[in-house]
Amino acid sequence: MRVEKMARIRVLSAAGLLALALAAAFPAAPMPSARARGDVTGELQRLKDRIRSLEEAIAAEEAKRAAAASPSPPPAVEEDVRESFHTGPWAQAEGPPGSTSKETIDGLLALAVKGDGPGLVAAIQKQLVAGDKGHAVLQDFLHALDKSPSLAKRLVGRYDLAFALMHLAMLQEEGWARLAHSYLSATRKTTRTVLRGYLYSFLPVFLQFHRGRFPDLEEDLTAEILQLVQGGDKRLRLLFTAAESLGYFLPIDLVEKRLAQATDFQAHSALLLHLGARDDKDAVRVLKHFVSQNMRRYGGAVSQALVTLARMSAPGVEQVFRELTWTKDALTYSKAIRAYFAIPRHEGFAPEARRYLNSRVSFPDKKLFINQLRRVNPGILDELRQVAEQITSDEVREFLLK
Amino acid sequence: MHERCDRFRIIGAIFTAAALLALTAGSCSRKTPPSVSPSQEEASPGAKEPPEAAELEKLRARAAALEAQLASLADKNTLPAGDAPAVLMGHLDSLDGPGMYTAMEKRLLGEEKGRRELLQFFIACDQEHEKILTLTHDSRLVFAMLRLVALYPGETAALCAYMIRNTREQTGSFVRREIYNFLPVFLNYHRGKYPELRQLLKEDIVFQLQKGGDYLYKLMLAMRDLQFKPPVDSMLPILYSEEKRSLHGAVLSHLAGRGDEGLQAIIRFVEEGGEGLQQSVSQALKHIVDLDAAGRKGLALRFVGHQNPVIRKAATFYYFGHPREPADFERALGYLNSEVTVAQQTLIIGKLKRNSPAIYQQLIEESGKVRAEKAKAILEKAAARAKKEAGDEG
Repeated sequence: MRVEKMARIRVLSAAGLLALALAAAFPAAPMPSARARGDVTGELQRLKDRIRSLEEAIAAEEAKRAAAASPSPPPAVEEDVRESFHTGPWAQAEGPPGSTSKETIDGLLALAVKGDGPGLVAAIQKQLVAGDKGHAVLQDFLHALDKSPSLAKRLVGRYDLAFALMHLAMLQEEGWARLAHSYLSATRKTTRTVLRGYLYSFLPVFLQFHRGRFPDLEEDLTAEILQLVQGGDKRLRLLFTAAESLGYFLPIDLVEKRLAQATDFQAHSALLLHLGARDDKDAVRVLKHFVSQNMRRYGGAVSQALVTLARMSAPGVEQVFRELTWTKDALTYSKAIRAYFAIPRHEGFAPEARRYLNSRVSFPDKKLFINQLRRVNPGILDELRQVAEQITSDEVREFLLK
Repeated sequence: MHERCDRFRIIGAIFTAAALLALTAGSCSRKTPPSVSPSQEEASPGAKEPPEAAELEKLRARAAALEAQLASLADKNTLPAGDAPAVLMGHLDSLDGPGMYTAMEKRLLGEEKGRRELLQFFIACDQEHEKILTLTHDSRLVFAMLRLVALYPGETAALCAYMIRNTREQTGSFVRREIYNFLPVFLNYHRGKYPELRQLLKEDIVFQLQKGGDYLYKLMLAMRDLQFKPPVDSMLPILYSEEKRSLHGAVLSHLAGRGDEGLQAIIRFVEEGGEGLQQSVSQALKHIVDLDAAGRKGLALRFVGHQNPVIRKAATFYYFGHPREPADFERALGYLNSEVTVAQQTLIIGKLKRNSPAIYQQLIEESGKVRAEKAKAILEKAAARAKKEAGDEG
């Protein structure tokens, strides 16, 4: 706010200076005196010159403005579009770990134990540029870390070490992608390593930034995500987030199946968030089915599903809420309305809110609803207060006006 | 920063104005032949005046209109934030990591102007708090910024220096919070490569401490990461400020770890801190007593026997937080018989039971000497329990 004001002052001062300068240069329209009359021709010439210079200045300003109004669209990714880098052949070819000397591995592990981030990065970079031999060493190092999960956790859990290791992925993108892909391939059967967990968090962001540059890695990662979700892996939030970052949506049938099987809050939450991110017709259908089947079974998850629906823009959402808010079931009605008004709505929705306050839903539920309006939809609350006489219950009206 | 921006804008405006002045002054002095035709020259003045006057009016009106139009356009085109923050903000709103990278890269490499635009963008985000949170927490945007940091460490260092210098007075700005978060880690990673920046950050820490220590926790983390101990005096404005009471605990802990110099500052604070700082003085006394227990013998006694009863009572309370010899029985008894709250009586009896069982036992045996009713009742109850247990065993 303060800076905005200051900014305006700056604009004004700049414009003011300009106006002052113009005024000083051209005192506007002096009345022709007898002395001036003799200089009419000169005055005419001066004005013509002045007009010409003004027109030029205006043209320049307009050009500046036009350029600003239609700025060149920001480069889609990077101007220097790089070729795809295929990591697949290495991922398939690299053999089992174990060829590196213990001394070399211990040297790398010692750097990790010491917490020497820059030293570790330098050592890994040295191996990365050494080609196949260096990559073999690094694979062995990663497998050695797998045997010491606490050390692996330390590497990423300590922010100075994480900051250091981040440089590898930024400075040696191709080498790093190759390393990650080979490691993922080699550990496919033991999917629960600490490093894999971290890779699942970081790789999708890395690949999203370099969209299309590492197609093999992207493909294998999405295939693995599908396989894991199909196989019943419980890390749904991690897997869905990774998939969404890669721009990949799992088959809706699979999501529906997992939602039907889910029994705990974490699984419900991950699946519902994913459906919200999909925001399509299928997601609306699955959510609607889930709400209707589980209203009294998984109350919390149903509320989350309804809020998810309310946030979505896919066709069919409004129809779902129309059905749920014109029901004789007070619980369904209450949950649906609360979810619907959990996101900001314009004042046109005030009658819907008033209908709820005049319904047969319990007073405590209405109190919760009014408090929710206070936080999320103060405009609607104001609107309701103005027509408070239309609220039939005294206690609700009193609470509304409080 | 704003001051600087102001200066740049004003300089810019002056240049524009000066350029226009020079242009128009040039046109005024230019000796160009009159554009009127010879036939017009020959016409009589009386016949010439009406059309010239009309043309003059027309031209003046036209010039005035153009001036207004130019002023309006210039006004619109000199918006302070320019398009830079708008472009960056667009990438932020669409969570476009690669776009943000490209837009920031251009500015990071763009010398002072680019740095200014980046800082303007950060400040604009800070004003809409949600935006700075998105910028510093969304993985796509953080990735883009980290890539810049990794690829352009020199430029990053220059930007940080620019931001430190230009946000000094905006102590509560989130930008500063992020500087303290990020810069020590960055500097440590680059191992002494940017000594000037390190020094600037240290000076800034001292300056911020003296200004009241906004984001004190972050400042302290930065101090720790830089292994930097600011002058003890720089902490005192916070310590002596009643408004900064919530930060006193952190400052006192820091001072307690600063050896003699810190200890002297704490002692001075105990002696000089007025009634408004009583709670913090009490905290300071705890540090003094703890230091005494840690080996600086004799330090606590000065305060447990202090002439100021408030200091004396607080010091005695903490004094019995550590094991004491039976010789301190009278001191414990004196504390219980002084004007302390029931809660304090209960707490000190508990402490004595845990840390100084000999004194506790003597109090039980001589509970008749305790005048405070509640304390006496607790001790008598303990005595009865002990007696019963002894009887049971017998």
